[in-house]
Amino acid sequence: MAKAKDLSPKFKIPNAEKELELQVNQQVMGSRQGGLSLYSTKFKRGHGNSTFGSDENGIWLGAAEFAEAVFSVSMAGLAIFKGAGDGTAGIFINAVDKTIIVNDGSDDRILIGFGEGLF
Amino acid sequence: MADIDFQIEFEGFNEGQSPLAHLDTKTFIGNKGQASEMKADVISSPGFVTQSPALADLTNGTQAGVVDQLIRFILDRPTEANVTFAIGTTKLFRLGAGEVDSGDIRLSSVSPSLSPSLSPSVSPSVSISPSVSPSPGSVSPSVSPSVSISPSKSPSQSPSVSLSPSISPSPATPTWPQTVSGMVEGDSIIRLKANLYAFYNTATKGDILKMPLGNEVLDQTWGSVTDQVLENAPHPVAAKEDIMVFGNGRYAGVYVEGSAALDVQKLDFGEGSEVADVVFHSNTWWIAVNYGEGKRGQVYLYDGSAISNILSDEAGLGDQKIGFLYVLNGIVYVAYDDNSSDGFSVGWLQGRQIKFLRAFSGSLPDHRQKALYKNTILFTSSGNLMSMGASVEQLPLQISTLADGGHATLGGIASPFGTPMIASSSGSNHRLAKFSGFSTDSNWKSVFIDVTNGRDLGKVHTVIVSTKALVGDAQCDISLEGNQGAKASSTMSVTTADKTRHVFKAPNLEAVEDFRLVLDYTNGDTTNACPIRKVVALGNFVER
Repeated sequence: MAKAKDLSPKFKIPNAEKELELQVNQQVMGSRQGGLSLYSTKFKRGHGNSTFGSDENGIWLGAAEFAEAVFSVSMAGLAIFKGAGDGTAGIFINAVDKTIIVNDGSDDRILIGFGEGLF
Repeated sequence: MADIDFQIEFEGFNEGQSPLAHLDTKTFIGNKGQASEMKADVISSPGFVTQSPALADLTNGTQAGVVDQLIRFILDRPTEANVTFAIGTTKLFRLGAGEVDSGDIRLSSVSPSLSPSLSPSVSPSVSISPSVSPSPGSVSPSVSPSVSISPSKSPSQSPSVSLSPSISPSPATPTWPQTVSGMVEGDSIIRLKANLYAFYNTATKGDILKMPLGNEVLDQTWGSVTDQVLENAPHPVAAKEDIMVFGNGRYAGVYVEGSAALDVQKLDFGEGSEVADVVFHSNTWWIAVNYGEGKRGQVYLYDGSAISNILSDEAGLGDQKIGFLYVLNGIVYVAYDDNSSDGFSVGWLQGRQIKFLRAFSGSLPDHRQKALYKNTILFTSSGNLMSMGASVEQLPLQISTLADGGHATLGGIASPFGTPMIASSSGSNHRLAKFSGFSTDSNWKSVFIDVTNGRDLGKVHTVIVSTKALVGDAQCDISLEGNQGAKASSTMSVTTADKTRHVFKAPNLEAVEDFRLVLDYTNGDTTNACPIRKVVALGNFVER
C-alpha cells in the first residue's frame, strides 16, 4: 500500500530564546557593564553622589549629573572644585580667562590673574 | 483506491495564530498548530488548545454595585495585602482580589491603633486631672501633643478630650469610591513610598491627585496647586524607588517623593509630539513618543537619576505609532501601529532596532492596557484580550486571541493579585471582572490546507481527536470547512468522561479543494474544559 501523503501545514518557527537573542555586533541601546552606563551622548560609572561621568558638558565627579558635581571640567575649560554640601563655595579655574577664583559661599575672596569687575 | 491517500495533523497549538491571520482570516500560511482565526487558550497548557477563560464580575463590580463608569486604569500591584486602586472617568476606586470596596472602609492600619490609643492614654490622664489642675501645662508632657485636657472638666466629660485631625476617625475613613471633582478621564496611578498619585484630565487640563496610603484622604488638585498646570493629554507614568517620570503631552515630567518641586516640563519633545508610555529598565527611563498624530514613533532613553535635561539615546520606529512599552524578563517590548497596512505589531527593542515579533488585528492598546499573564504579555485589542509571548523560552513565541474582554469598550487591565482583571463598558453598563472558569464563547480554526492532487480533490473520511482525559460534561464540537468556507461537514462532538481518543468516521464533507479544522466550544462546559492535543484528518483523493 502506498504511503499516505502528509499534507500537514508547515511553517518553521524558531524558539523564543532564538528570536529574543541579541544579534552579534548589535549596537545596544543604553548598555550597562557592571556599574558603567554607556549611552551615545554620555557615560557614567557609579550611582548618586558617587558618580564619575562624561557628557557633552564635560567630565565630572561626585554627583549624578554635571551641574551638581563637586569636581567638573567643562568642554570650555572651566574647572570647579567644591566640598560636598558647600553650596556655591569652591575654587574655580577658568582656562579661557586665565583666572583662579576662590569663593567662600558668599563672596569671591581670592583672585589669581585678572578679572575686571570681580573685586 | 488506497484506504488513506493523505493525512493531515494538527498539533502544537501553543504556536498561536498564523503569521498572516491579521491580514487574511482564511489564510493558507501557517504551521500545524497555528490558527487562521481563534479565541481560545493555547498558553495555559502548552501544546493543547482549550476554551478561553471566562470573566466573573468582582463583588460590587458592575453598575448595580459601585462600578458605574468605565475603569480606565488599574494599578498593577497591591499597595498592601489585598488592596490596590483603580481610576475611572470621575472616581477613584479601591479594590481587593475579589471585590470593589464600597462605602466606609475601616483602614486596617488605623482601626486597631485607634481604640487602644484612646483608652489607655486619654482615660488615665483625665482621671488624674484634679491633681494636676493647679498647673495645666504640666499635664501636657505626659500626654500626646495631639491631646489636650481641660483641667476643669470631670473625667466623665468627653468634650474635655480633643483629638488631632490626623487620627480623627471621620476624615481618615473616606467613602469608597471617592469622586474627584472636575475629573472626566482618569489616566494612571503610581505609588511612591507611602503615597499614591493618580493622573487625570479635567475638561480643560490635566492634574494629579495625591493620597497618603495611611489615611486615604485625597488631595485632589495636588498637581496644579503644587506647581504648574498639566496638559490635557495621556499621562503614562513609571516609578523607580522615590522618583516618578510621567508623560504630559509633549513633555515628560519628573517628581521626587518628598521634594517641594514638581517639574511637569522636564523634557520637551517638541510641538506635535505626545508621550505614549514610560517604563523604567536597566537604570534608565524608556520614553515612547509619538509625533504628528502618530505618524512617527520614537523611543528615547533618559538617565535614571532624572536630573539632566538631556536625553541619553534614542531609537526610531519610522512612520509608526507606539501604543505601549512593556518590560518582561529584561526585554523592552513595543506595541505599535504600521499606518500603511492593516494590523498592528509587537516587537522588541534590539539595540536601536525595533525587531518585529508578531502581528495582530483589532486596535492598538495603550499604556493602560497591558499586563502579565503566564509569562506572556496580555493586552487589549478591540473588545478582546490577546496574549503575546511564550510560556517557556524553549517554545516558540505565539500571539493569540485569548478571551473576550466583557463589554464592547475595554478600559484598563492589570494583574495586581495574579489573576487578570479587565474593565469594560457598553453604554450605561460597566463591569470590572477577572478570569474565572471557562468560556463557551471560544473557538479555534486552523489555516486552510490545499488537498488537491492534480485533477483530484480531497475527501476526508476519518477524523481522530486526542484530548486530555475528559471530565464531566466537557465538550468541544469539531467540524471541517471546505472550499474556503463554502462547504461544511457535519458536527462531531468530542465528549464523554475519561475518554482521550475520539474517532469520527464519515464526517460528511464532500470532496473539496481545501479545508480547515474548526473547534467550537459553544456547547462546552464552564467548569470542565476540553483540552485538545492533536487532531488527525485522513482522506482520499477523488477524481472530479
